[in-house]
Amino acid sequence: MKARTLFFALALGAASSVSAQPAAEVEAPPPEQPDVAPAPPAAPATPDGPAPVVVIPVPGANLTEAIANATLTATTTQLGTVVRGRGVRLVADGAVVAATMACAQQEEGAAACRGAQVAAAGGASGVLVNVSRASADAPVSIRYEVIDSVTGDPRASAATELPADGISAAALQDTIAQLAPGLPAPPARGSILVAVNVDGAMVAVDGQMVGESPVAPVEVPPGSHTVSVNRAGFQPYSRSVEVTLDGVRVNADLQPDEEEMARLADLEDEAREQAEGPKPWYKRWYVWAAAGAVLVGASVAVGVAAGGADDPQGFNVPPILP
Amino acid sequence: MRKTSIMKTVVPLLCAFLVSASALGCGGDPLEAYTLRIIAEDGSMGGDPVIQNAVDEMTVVLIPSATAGQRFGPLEPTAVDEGVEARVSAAGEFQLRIGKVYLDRNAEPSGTTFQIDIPLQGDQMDDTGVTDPAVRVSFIRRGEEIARGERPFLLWPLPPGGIDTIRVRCNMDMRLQCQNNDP
Repeated sequence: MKARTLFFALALGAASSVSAQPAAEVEAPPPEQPDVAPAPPAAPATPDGPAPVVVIPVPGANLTEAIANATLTATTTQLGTVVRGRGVRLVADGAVVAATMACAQQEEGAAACRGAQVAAAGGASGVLVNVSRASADAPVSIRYEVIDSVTGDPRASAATELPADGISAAALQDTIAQLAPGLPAPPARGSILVAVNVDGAMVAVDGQMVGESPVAPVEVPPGSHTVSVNRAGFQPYSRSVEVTLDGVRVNADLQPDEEEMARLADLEDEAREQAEGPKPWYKRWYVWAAAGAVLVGASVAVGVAAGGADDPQGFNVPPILP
Repeated sequence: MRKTSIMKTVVPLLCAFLVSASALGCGGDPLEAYTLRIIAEDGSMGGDPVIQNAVDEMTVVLIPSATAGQRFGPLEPTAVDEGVEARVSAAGEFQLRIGKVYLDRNAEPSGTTFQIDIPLQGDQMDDTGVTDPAVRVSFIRRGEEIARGERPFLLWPLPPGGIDTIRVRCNMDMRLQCQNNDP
């Protein structure tokens, strides 16, 4: 969040230097740091996944850092839902922001200039976010422009006005939805529904923890994926599944391990006994076990004693008579 | 392992052990016997050795003090073990006649010859006033005594668990017989 705040300061600074518009409400001038750490992407994008959409802020007049932050945060969030799975990256490089804004000053080749900046930021397409206010008390005017990274031509645009304290992803939903025709389509996704016969089991897809059962369907790219389910007391479950766009359901029936089986059997016995009431004495196992044990023990004792009788302790000698 | 399975195994074993122990305990320990250890002479003391195969029969005679007019209580000839007969003679001597079967079953090698333990037991607790009896052991071959051993007295009453040793020497002129060779 600190890096993002710093970024907005950079962006605002760039705006003030390029557009020469007053930035009276900007609290601090941007520090001279060329490589600020990029903000984390708003939506997960795998390194090998499709090229993301880059968001390039174009700050305008009467803009405060709080408004800029709120606008860009809400924008990246809402864009993430539109290009789901592709990823949205907020451009953090103040130089790129400044260069993009400078493109507008060019009389010729402005579009190609902007496209080049989008490409330089690593996007398949870029969304320029122009935020400004007519005055410090006026509503915030937000204008979006989707730029093709190759030609720089606008593909779609949309605009809205919101009160300064009413900027949110939900408030921008309809406006950003108008950009969808110009944005790259979200990558094809399939889903895995992991149905586990016991609750509380740890579910993982491709080694990445999804959560404890029951879990919601997990969206993954089509192809082969490994589902593994683990819970103490049960044998581990692991299975490779082929996910299509139609999705796949995996029924993970965890089998109790030996200890759990024994515990369940004991519980079953106790439950049965409670349900059926106390058994008569002659149906209790320990009665017959004890009877058998007494019989065996007595036999052993008799046998030992009888065996001992064969072993004379000595020839009996009569007493001596005086 | 299942809890009830463990109990079903342990409880009967425990019961059987307890019952056995109790039953054996109730019987009480029999009185420990006194042992008369008879050792056949092996020739190291100057006499001729006596080998086991030379002996057909053995007699053990407890001889009460004649001078004190003592005698053993009457006992008709009685088979007390396989090939063992006990009796009290007319002279009041206690005699054990031990046959070859018993001898072969109980004798053990001792050096070049053999030895045999004869357990004796009796209720002599009231015999505290009597004179200690003497003991004589004879090895018999073909009805003839070939070796003899004597002790002047045995501790009387016989001490339970006590052991006395008596050596049996080949008689004069019985050298060949003691070696299981007849002249």
